[in-house]
Amino acid sequence: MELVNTISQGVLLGGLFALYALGLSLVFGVMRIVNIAHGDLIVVLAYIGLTVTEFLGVSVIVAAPLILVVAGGLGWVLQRGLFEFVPRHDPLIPLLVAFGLSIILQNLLLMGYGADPQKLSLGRLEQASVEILPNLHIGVFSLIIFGLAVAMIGGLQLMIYRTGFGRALRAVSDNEANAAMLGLDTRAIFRKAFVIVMLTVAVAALLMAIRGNFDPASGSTRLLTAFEAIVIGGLGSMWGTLAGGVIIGIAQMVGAQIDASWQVLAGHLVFLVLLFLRPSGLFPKNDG
Amino acid sequence: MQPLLELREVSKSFGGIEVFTDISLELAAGTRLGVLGPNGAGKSTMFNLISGLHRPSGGKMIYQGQDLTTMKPWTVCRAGIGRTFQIPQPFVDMTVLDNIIVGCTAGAGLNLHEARDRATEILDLTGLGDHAGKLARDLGLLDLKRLELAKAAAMKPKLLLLDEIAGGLTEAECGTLLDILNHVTGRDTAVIWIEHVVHALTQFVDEIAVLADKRIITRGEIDTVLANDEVRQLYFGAEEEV
Repeated sequence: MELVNTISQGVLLGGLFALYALGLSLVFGVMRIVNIAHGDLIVVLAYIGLTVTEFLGVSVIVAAPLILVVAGGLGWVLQRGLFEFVPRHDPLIPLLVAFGLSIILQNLLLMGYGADPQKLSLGRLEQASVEILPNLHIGVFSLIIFGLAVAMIGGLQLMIYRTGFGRALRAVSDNEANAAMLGLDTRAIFRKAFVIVMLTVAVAALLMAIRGNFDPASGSTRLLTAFEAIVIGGLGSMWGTLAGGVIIGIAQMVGAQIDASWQVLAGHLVFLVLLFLRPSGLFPKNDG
Repeated sequence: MQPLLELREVSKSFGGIEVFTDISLELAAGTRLGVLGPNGAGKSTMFNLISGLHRPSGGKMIYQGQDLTTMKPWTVCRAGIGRTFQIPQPFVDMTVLDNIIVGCTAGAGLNLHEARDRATEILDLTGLGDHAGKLARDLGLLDLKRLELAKAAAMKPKLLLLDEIAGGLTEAECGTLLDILNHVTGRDTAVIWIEHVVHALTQFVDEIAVLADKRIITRGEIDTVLANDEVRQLYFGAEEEV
């Protein structure tokens, strides 16, 4: 029963990893930018969450709509004020810009908040659990995280494959020059896409901040986990990313059972093994 | 009467390299103009300037009284200028139908229902009706050229820019393409067609312009231009009979 317990915890943790990865996957899929600063953006949003809840003196749930609005605005500003000016003909240039952004964000956070670990609180909900099977308890908050991950992936899939904006996104991602020439305002589409990306980042950030401690340097591990989830799942497949997250989550939980110091390492090892066995991921988008 | 499109002393250089120094051109509504010229003369660059993909280094471009010079590609498209690319540029991971719907909704401003009707109509006209649900990546060359033309024509442009759509096709396929072209472009559609396949071009256009030596060296009726000594020398080789 302990193994079942460990695996179920891993599965639920995988939902959080998939949430880390969604925005990263979208930015790469639509704009062809490898956003090295993605993890730091998650941490920035966690701090914004902290500030907003402390300033207003309300719970995260009450403050969430405001935080989402701020995140969306930040996404627009980042695209309009920074990435829009970055030439993308050479993938190295946006990569370096994102790297620079990552360093700037980390240092700004360090200046503003110091290096002490912080945490958001959700009160009793954090400890609440339900007994699904005899002796198998599942944290309510973990279930919420996983449910949100599934809902957001489903929502994004619907948006991408069932709406006009989604068709425009796919077109721009497929062939930008052609899209522009067929009347799609690619600049406006990129701005909207970055707003959506930051909304996913905000959700991931708040859940991360409630689940455990974070500090200005927490971004890089989130970025790494997000990358691993995407690569295991196969580029461009969001359900694959969820599967990738779940695999890393299970590996971490099983690793932690062996020894606490094995938790993170086990995730990376499983990633390496899968990368070796299935270099194009479990659910590659195209066979060719 | 005001021309549909007017280029005034348009020049373009990339870095220090001049592509052309002076393109001046007027095009009346409904005119079909063929453009000949050696490789590297800047024919495709001219299209890239008109369609807003690149900005000219000098000169002015006027379309229906509007200044095209600084317009973004999507604004140019919405103003009624459609184009095809020399190397077909489909959305490879989208279906043939969706490829066309994109232009009909974004470029021509149709709602989804109208766009679907228009796309189905143009797919039948271009002979792609059976491929509507196929991914564009699975099409052969002739079908890709059909799709390229269908995408541009579906928006019912006032000005259609065709970039070597007959290149790489067999003579029979050229004939098919010409039929399609006649079906999808009404007599009120102005066309500028860059082409090396002269026999295809002459069956469709009213006039021919020749782009060489960084400028338009001559323009006029088909027979006059093709008989021009300078053109024969430059383009066909002096000795060759046309």
